[in-house]
Amino acid sequence: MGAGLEAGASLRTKFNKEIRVVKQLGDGSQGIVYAIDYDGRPMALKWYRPNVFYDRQKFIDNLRNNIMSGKPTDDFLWPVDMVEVMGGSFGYVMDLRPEGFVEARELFLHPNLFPSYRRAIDACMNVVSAFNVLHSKGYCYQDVSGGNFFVNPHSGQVLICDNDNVAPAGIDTGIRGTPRFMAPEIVVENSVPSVQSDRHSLAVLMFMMLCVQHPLEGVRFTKAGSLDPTMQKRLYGIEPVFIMDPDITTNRPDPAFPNALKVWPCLPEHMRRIFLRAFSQNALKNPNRRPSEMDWIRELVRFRSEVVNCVCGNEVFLENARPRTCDKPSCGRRVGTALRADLPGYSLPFVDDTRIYRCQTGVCDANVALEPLVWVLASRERPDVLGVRNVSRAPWGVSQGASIHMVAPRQTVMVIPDMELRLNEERIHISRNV
Amino acid sequence: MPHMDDLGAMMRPDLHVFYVLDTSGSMQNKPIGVLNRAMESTVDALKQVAAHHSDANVKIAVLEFNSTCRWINPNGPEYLDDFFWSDLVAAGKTEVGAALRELDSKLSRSAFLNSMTSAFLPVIIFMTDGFATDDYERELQKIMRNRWFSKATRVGFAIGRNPDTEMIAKLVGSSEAVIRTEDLGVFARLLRFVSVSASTLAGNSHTRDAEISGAEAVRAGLNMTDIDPGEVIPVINTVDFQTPQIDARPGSADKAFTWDDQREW
Repeated sequence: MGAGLEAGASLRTKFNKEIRVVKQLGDGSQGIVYAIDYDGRPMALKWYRPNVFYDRQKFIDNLRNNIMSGKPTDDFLWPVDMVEVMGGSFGYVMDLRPEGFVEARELFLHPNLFPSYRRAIDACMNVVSAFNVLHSKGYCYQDVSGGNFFVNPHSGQVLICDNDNVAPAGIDTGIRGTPRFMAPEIVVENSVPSVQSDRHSLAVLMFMMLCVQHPLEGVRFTKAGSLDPTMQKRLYGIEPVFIMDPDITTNRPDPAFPNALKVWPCLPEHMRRIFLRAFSQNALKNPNRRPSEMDWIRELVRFRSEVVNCVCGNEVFLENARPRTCDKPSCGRRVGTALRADLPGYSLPFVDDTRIYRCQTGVCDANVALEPLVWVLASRERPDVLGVRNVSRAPWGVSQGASIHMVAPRQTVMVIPDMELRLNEERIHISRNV
Repeated sequence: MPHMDDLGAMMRPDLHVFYVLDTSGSMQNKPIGVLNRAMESTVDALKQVAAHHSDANVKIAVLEFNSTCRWINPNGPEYLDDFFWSDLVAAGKTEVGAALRELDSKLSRSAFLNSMTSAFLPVIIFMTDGFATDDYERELQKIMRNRWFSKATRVGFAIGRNPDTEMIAKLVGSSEAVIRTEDLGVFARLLRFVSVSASTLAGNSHTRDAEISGAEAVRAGLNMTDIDPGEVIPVINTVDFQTPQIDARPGSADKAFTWDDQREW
């Protein structure tokens, strides 16, 4: 029996809403996605093929639970209603994917869909933040891969789909993940996916977005010959080696595929450090040694603000706001910024589009980590005159000497060297960069 | 930082999809016409798969056989972008053994599977409408020792009125990896769907502990259509399609077995 629905077919949902099939949108291994009219609203319906389940009833129960508990954040294309018909076919209703979003794995094939490196970092921040919230609600995604979320390369926004797999951490739904993204313990022991195995998959995903290469696929991979299941088990499970491991040099990137060799030396030290930690032998073998989502968010928000543009147009990463030479071979100009913001632990270049988030000003909850607080803007009249805008929902202060001035939400004030931003408990000093 | 334009597509291993197609005399007229159009639309579908496959570089190679055999791409598998179908002509005998011998000689890292990266186990799709006119079993025993063949995802199509379904099942190692149909329209559709499912399964599947069997690819391909598996998967009463574990060199078997010469018909 085929699984398909005809255009124009009319069905009734669990919540007793009338839906009408408009047209087919996509076709995958598990099922077909249709555009539908959901009680007058344009929505999407994922309709499963028969016999794709490990335990059909358990799957339906889990899906129902996910619908009832509601989406963790707006970054999820979450199931909102379901349809079951005679004969056992079923599906779920979700929002449509908006215009401008592409599957993440398209970005591995066409990295230049991102207009800038900064947007790639934004996408990483948003995806980690979404999983941070999901995990904090007790869920585990189980199948993080480049095929399970969409990215808007022009805004860095993400949309996580296939949320029918999401289950409370520890529940075995039969899902083991996607090859190349699965954590070593799943590859080797076939153990049940966990928050820690999600973290490995996320680290792989971020390395792929930022370095456009798989972190474990070096010369051991290109020279393997046949990638049969035994060899794959060895490369991703039994003996995984990071292509940039400082101690084990047997799996360096193949010079024929130089993406990582180009990007790695340009990364700020703190970004290299967190990747080295995530793919160290220790973290590959011990799931609880992997960096958490908050660890990643802290490094990524810092990284994001370290990206400045050289006058040649090239993006340069200024670690600790230290000036450096533009690394575009034909340029070689000195790049630096007039001002820097001194945060606890590190400094950021203080330029147009610098952003300060809630997680950079002390301890905070998962769901507010990326709440924006401060946005630096160049003035329309003179690009070298900067303003700071309050992009949070509460007032914060700026001070110089003894006088404190309160800045209301949406208000922008001019930046003066040596002023201080008073955000929550933190004081961020704006210094001259000499 | 290098500009995004300076970064190439992420490295992917090769996935070779082989077609071994019968163009013997019995395929003349309508069947060869349908095969040509079916391959054309299959190539078109594979181009779509290849363009979005972030886990593999899909390449295609086609071997036709009749009284002799011939590679459509004699220099080895080609990227789908570089490949355009040119029509085949039907004439001659059905030399399946010769085709297996030729395939065996090319399934090696020093021949057709030579590439910059490693390669997944290939996909091999057979199609015939008749019976072999040579000793294919001997060649099958030989090629089964080639891991690239024995561990490949193998699928067979048995079409027309009188194909040797059992032979096809032996070539692909399982009767469930065989599609048997007289309806050329069904053949054309399934060739496309099964080609797509076999090449996407490499990399996209959720639990992968063994090679992807031809039977899995057939099931997944059928799942994309409304065709009832019972209509196209043949029931064959042959239990074991594995290569017999005997030494097959001439003269060696008669030491292990004896036959009753006096027995009457």
